[in-house]
Amino acid sequence: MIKKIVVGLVLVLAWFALAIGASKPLYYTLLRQNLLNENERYGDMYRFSNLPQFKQLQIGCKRPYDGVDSSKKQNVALYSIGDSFLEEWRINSNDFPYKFYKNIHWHDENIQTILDTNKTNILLLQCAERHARERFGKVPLNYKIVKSYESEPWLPRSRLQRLSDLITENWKTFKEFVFTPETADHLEHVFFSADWLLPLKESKASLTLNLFDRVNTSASLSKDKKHIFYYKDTDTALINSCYSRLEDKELDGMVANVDSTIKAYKRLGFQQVIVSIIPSKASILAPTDGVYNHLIERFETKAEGKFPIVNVYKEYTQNRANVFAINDTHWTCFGKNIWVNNTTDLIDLVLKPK
Amino acid sequence: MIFNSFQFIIFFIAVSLTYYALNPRFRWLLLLVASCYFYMAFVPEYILILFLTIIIDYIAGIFIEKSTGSNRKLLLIISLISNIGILAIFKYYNFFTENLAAIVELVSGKTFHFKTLDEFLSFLNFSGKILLPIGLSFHTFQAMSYTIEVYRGKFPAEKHFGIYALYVMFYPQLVAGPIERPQHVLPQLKMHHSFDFENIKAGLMRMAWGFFKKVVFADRVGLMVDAAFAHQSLQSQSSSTLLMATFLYSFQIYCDFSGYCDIALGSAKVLGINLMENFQTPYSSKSIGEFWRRWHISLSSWFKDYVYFSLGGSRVGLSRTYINVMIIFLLSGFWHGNTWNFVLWGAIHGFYLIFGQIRDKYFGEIDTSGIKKYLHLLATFVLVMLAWIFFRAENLNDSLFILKKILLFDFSQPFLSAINTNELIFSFLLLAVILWKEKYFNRISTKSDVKFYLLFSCFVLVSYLFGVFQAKQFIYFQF
Repeated sequence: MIKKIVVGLVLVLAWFALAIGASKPLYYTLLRQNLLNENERYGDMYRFSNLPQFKQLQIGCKRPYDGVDSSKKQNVALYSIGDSFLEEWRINSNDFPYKFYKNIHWHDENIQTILDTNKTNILLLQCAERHARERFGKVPLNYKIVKSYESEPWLPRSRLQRLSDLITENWKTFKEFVFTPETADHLEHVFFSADWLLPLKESKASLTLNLFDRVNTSASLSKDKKHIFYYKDTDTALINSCYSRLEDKELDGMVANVDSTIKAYKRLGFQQVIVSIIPSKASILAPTDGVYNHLIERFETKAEGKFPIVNVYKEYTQNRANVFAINDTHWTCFGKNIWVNNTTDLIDLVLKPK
Repeated sequence: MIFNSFQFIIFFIAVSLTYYALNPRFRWLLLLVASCYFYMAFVPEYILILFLTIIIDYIAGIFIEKSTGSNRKLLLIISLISNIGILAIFKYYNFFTENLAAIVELVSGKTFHFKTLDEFLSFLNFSGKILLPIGLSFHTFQAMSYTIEVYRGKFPAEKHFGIYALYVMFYPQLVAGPIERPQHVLPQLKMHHSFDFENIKAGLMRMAWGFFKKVVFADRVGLMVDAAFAHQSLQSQSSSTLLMATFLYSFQIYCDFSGYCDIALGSAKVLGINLMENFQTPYSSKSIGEFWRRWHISLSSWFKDYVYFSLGGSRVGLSRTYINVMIIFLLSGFWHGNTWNFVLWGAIHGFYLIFGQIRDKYFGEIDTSGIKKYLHLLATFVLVMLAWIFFRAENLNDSLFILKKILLFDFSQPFLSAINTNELIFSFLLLAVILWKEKYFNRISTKSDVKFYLLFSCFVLVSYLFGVFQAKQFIYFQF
């Protein structure tokens, strides 16, 4: 009888686990309900590498404008297009002295936005150094400035087309429910992210490093093995690496693209557009592990006088040890504060009447 | 869904437990739904292609059985053309059009471009990149073996659509074989398999052995092989690096594919179903002919039974026999992939075999007594290993470059390895263990519970601690 109960329990658990893994909505529901551990609570690089020397609990940073009444803030609307550094839990409106703040990701396209003409509208184009060559290699327009929100224009469609659209739409939903491509990641999260299991993963990771000098393919170590980086930062086969060769011609193109983007957004109604490239962890902590391409410094030199740039590179190199988290690709609270302060200072500067 | 994923382990536990908990009358339905899910986890839409072939062959089987004479033959031809047609469109369309364009260009002196499959379908308003449906060559051949067997009157047409669909789709062997025959599998799918703990233990042990070969050995040496064979860095590789990579690739592909087969056979065994063995220690072969009787047995026997014998086999004249051998190997190469590399790989093996037959004819069968046995073993391995270069390299130029570099023994450039010396030594130790005790591991007796629990836990622990987990697909999945 007990055997049957155990088998039954395993059976139910296995199907339930499979359902959580395969179904995106179900997985995210459990995450929202806090029924699953936060996957990156010890940092993204710890999650990838499982090396105990890079394990540290992530703590939120104090926000300077937390609880400050918005009426006491500057009459500025700050819009940004950013990457993981500007994710909401890292940066939000409580970090800025402005009445309005909105961020979208570079992957978001044609996001309809109505600019409040009673405010000074500023746009911030932010990207991490590792993505600069991809992002600034083209002229993207992620915000679509409109007078009023537009719905999809109605087009006459045949019955067959409508049926085809209906099938496509439902098929897409069905796939999300049953065949999400991230199933393996979800299952790994559900089963192996509990604190009591981490020592097992850490043993494997340490064994592989000590015996075979290898780490997870998403990570790489500095030569002195004191720092951990996202693999793209150091893989010279990719344009994301700070050690990849970068020709002046490409830099000229990037500056020209950013300039065109800024002009386009200014035509759409933004009073000012500023740019920020946040250095890669490897550029700051291990610039001599390879031939550093000095992307940020060279970009800033070429862009001088053309558009305003938030400069954090200099301060980051002066405070190498404190700006990046040991367990993460992103900054520490100290590093974040430098960026926030420099950004607000630059906005103050560009808004100052000349 | 790939076997070496955690998703598969959960899926396998869920399906196997439900299988035995279910009324035997409905087990086929569970396995069919599970197989659909297993296949759809790769690219869900491709299930439609699979079902199209299933429907065609199911109907063809019934009508072939009912008809006689030329009608019977016509129905078989229609069924074969449908199967080969689908394979040709998805696997060989681009190969044919590229080569046709090259010929036209050569003759006319003008650049010519045929639409690729993607372009052709985008022309018909289909968006998205066309990928080769996973395991297409495998299940197409399995489906064809059914209609041929029905045509030959060796097996009655299956009337139950669900059971027939399951024969083609049975998840353990759906994407990379073994390519089964209807008389072996279909009756087993209809049988009521009662829970037998001996089967479960034997199946689980076979699976654990397969996982071990795949994640601990094949994927580990794969790190070195992939880096050495990469087109971008090929020019800077030394003879020693390429020789080592080719040597290790010979065992990587073996452990990868036989590891897959072990998992397939083991997971079917847990359900009470026995699939055919696909390997019999192939690197202990003393001739190329013997190698092909031990390597990918289900494919070799498929070609032998349905093509070679149909062409007359060895009952025709000597030169026709050699031509038949070459046809089989060219087809086998082409079956593996849609590039000239694979065709050449097949041709090399065809040549080896013909050369061996000529040698046997004029000099008598090879003497494998004493030390000569080991010399033949070594010679066979070297020949097979050199042919693998064409199988692994990214294109024909790369293959020839690697072959030339190896044969030149140019050791001026340093030996480069993507894995460190410790890992290289560890890989060789693993290889020694695998080859030394291969027969034992393939058939570990699980009669003793203690031995089972001990060895199984050992395999699981070692696979976890020393496994390379990068969700790397099995090499044969691409075919």
